[in-house]
Amino acid sequence: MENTLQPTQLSRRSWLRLAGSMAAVGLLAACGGTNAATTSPAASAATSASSQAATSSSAAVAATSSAQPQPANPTPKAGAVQVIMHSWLEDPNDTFWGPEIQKFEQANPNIQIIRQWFPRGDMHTKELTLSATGQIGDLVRINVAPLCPELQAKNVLQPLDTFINQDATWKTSDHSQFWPANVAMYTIQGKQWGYPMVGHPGCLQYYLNTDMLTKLGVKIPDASSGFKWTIDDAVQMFKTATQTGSDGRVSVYGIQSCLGGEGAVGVLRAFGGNYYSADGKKMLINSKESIAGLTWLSDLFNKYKVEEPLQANPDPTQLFPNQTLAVFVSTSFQATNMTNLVGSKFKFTVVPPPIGPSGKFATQVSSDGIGMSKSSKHPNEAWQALKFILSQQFGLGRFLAGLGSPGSRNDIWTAPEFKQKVPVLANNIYPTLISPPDGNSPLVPWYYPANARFNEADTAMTNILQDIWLGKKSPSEAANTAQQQVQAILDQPVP
Amino acid sequence: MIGSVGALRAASTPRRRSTMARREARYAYIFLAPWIIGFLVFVAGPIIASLVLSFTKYNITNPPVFIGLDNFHRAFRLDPQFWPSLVRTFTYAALVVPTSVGGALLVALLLNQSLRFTAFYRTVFFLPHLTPIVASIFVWTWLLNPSFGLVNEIIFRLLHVQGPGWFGDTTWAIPSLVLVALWGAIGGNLMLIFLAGLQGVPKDLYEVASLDGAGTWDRFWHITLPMISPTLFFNSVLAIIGALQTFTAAFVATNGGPAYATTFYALQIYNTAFVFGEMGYACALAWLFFIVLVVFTYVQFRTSRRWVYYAGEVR
Repeated sequence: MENTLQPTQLSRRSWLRLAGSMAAVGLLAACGGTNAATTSPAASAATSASSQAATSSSAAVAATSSAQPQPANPTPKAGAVQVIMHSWLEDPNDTFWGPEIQKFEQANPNIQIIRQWFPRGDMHTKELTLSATGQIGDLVRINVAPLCPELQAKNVLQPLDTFINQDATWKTSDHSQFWPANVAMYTIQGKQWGYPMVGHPGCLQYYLNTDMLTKLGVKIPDASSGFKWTIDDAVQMFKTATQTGSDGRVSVYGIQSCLGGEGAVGVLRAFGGNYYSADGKKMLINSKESIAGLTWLSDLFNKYKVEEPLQANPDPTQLFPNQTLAVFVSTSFQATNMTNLVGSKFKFTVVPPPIGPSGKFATQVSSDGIGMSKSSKHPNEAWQALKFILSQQFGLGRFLAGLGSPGSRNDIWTAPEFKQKVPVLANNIYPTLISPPDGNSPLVPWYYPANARFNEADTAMTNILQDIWLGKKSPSEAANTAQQQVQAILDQPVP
Repeated sequence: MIGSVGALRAASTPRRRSTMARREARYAYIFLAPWIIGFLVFVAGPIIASLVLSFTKYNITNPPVFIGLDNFHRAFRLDPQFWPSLVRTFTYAALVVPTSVGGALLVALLLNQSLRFTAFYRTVFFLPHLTPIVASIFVWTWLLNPSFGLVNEIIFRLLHVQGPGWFGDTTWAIPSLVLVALWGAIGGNLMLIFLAGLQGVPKDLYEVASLDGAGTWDRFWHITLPMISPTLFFNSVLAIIGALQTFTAAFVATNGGPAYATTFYALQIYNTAFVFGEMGYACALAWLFFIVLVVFTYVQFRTSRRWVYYAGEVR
């Protein structure tokens, strides 16, 4: 007879059967994928190797801490097409992007923008991976303009010419606002593969502590001279500004230059030299003019000793506001950043670079951009979203929100809010480097490898030239090494 | 009839046991399945795939194209960073392994003493090892900043000389990374393993040696070292493999600079794969390194027979 007083026990076999089933269910659940963007390991490096100054595309990104949470994906709207946009992490409190996207969606109720954000240092690789696995979204952020050829060659992007030509309003009122030199960097084989989302004349804008320099009797370039000053004036300024303390150590450095692929070329161009040829197939680093430019930079480190020593992660945002650095070279982004950091401690200004033997202001237009993916399922809606991102309102608002460099449009740089926020850029940089009164804009594009090997070439160039700044090699020796090694990279096919 | 029934039972029992054994085996495989599947999908599969890809040109967005041994030829003859990165990696290992293993042994010997507050000292020495490596490297880059870092400030105040460029100097970049590594390694797992090994040395050996007049050094050299030689060997092998694979510190602190001074082999593989987008070539570099590590480890095991003594081993 059954013993009903004994509690029913699970047999060993039943228990094993149950546990095995649960494990199988868990395994199946784990195999399912999601569409969420990855979070990166802390401090992912920027695309280029460590450079001397924080630029919009350089090693400053290495200081990014563990990934900020991206905004939660909104609930899909009924009847609306989802346009997925890839960009890098910014605006952690969503005080800018969220409201702007809301405005766009109210004006375009049939479109819903879904943001997928990644740490900037990982974004390019992530986009390539997403494209390889067929998961790329509709709008693709281009980390820096020189990476556009790689995205184009690897079939990530589609040309925008059809959309531009069919959109008469865009073509006449918006497209014409973009700097031609900047648009040219996204034009490959006669087609346009993206647009610059931000832009500035290059990592060659000189930030001067005017209070300190004036006290030392240094003449500050100003509007009366058209902001023209020479490389000899600059050396004199840096020498005067470099101060030694009572203990014999340098207490204030005269200059922190912008080196690396985005920076040093500005000096080379002032001497008539360049890194690459305009078609991106030839290395020009060992020309007489380029070596002269490298020598000028080298002298700042090794002869005059006015340059902040080469560091792993140089950061003018620490030194300049604390007045241990009199001058630093950077991009337009630092104008708002320094306004916040310096506050009322002292006055500073931003001036164009000194003029060298070339006789004119040197520029290297710099930008990061945005394009449309080749596999976009909703290209027409994506085009509408793209126009919104590239609009004057968005580009200006993003800059005023302190999220990066200004948009690459004339109507942003001439907007009253822009002039009020950063008069140094509006009054000093814009009329000299971007749109001078005589109409001869000195803006020259950033030349880059035509074979889509920008990262490889830039890494080699940056590391080889660092031997100059450290005094380990002469400029001509390093230039010849760079010429040989980087030309070998340029001679290779597209990866 | 009973005999036939008995024979029947005897015949059916192995089958019942076999069925039960099969069922139990099935459950065992079910429980092992997650690990096996994970191993095949995430470890074995990618390893085999990387071997295949090492013979191809592959940038992940286009299908791989077979190119034979071109990647290996490129590594040996064309890549200007292949041999230098190997040399740098071995240089780093040559600096960090003896110092970290020796330092860990020294600390373990100290902590093996019966002193007061030993537990506290063990905790304090182990704490650096617990610090997340990225956070610690960021702090070290500040400490070793040539302009305003604390270390150079102390050097100047004590010795009245300007300190080196540390991470910003090609001569000092590797020693700086060695310093960071030692800070975490000396009191870390190496020390713990040595401590365990030291505590396994029979005390009567020391007593006997003391009675025979052996001094501290003699006891260490003739008793302690031989008795912990397996531990020493184990730690050395792991330390060498870890040092040769070093990546994180160089990636975070210097990103391979300045002037390639800290572009170690693992970082070069990473750059080739994820920055330059050449997966095929990166796979070839990885397999070359694997061969180097295997050869190195084999040599270590072979030479260990001369100096490693296992308890109970018959020679």
